Amino acid sequence: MKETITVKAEPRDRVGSSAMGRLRREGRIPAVVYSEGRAGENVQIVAHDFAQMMKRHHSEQMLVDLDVAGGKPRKVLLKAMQHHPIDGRVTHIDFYEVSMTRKLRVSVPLRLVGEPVGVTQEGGILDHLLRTIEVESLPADILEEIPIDVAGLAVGKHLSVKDIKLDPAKYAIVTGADVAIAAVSMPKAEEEVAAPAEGEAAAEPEVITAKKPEEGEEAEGGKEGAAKGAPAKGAAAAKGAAPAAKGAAPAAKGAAPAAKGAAPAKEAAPKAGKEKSEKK
Amino acid sequence: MPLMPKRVKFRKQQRGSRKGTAQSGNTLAFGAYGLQSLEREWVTNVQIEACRVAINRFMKRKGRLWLRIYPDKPYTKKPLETRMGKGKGAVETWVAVVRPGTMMFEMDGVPEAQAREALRLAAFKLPVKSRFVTRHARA
Repeated sequence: MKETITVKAEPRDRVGSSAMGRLRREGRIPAVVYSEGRAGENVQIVAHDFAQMMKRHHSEQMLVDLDVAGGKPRKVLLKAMQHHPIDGRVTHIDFYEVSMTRKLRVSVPLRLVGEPVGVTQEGGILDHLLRTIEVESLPADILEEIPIDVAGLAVGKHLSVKDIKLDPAKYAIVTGADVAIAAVSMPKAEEEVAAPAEGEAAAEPEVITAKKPEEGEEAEGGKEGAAKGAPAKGAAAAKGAAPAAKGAAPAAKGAAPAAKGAAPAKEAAPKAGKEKSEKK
Repeated sequence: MPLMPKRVKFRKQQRGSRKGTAQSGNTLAFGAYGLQSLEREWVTNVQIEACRVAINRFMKRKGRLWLRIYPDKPYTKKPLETRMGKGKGAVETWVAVVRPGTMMFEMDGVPEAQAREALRLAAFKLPVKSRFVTRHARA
């Protein structure tokens, strides 16, 4: 006999985010009840009672009796729950009023039972690949969880959805039959992280929008680009050399009076750039 | 080789915004246990690597580990004793933007006590306060 879960609720007339913030601070959770062809009804429930109830249940989609202000209990499905991103407390609940004669599609959690042979004897690792499956059933038959025995699983073996045995008269599994649920594999060897050798600069990622060196530049800075190999890197080097040449220009200008003319300054600029790039 | 992207569209980025809570990547997606951030910070590639090493060393090749954050943001710095101006500094490291709620690491295939200890050791390497979360107990 399945346990009947009862949730007590009160009608709610307040709406809006700031009012809901106040409601949550009072220790209540805003919720909504809806069904097909009917407008939603705003309700609120006591957060502590709901948290206590959820401690005993794993599924987030289960059938409960909703008792709104002491009225006749209604069969509702816990359709969706919103959680706070940091502390995980429930911030809102959707209840979906169901017809007990119409089949529903719900996601049911899978619970792995037992220690696989591949883990205990062969040193493998159990991978839990699928945690819920979609099952179609009448509301009265909704499963809270499906236990799956993995004790016989050896290394390299896996269990898939088709291995789940459910009463076909009551349940139809919607999730693909070939989807793997759990597998046992050998642990991978730890990747050795090679530290960069002394003098070797840390590698830089390739810049995909970097301009390729123009033909005129290639003639001057082609040697550098060719030495580095990658065109993007070559372009970056050419770019880096440009400000150095500019920075060197004032120094050359300072020397200009001695040379008596602006021409030597012009010559000095590319020279300084070359020296800088050679140093690099 | 520290964690960093292989290809990027631009070499340098602006600082960006870190406000708000993590709107995605804030739940357990792969494993049964996780380490969730409670603060906002830039976590560097060296810090992430230190956590990974600490966890793997403690786990001794058991269980599985998922890194849920990746340092894809370049962090630039100007050289010491440099006057302001003359363009943006050179890329010094790569960082991941971590907001409150970000699930930074996930683990599976080990008992809870072992996962808790491994992630506790990893938490020491991080610049943020964090908490251990399990799939079955949400808050």
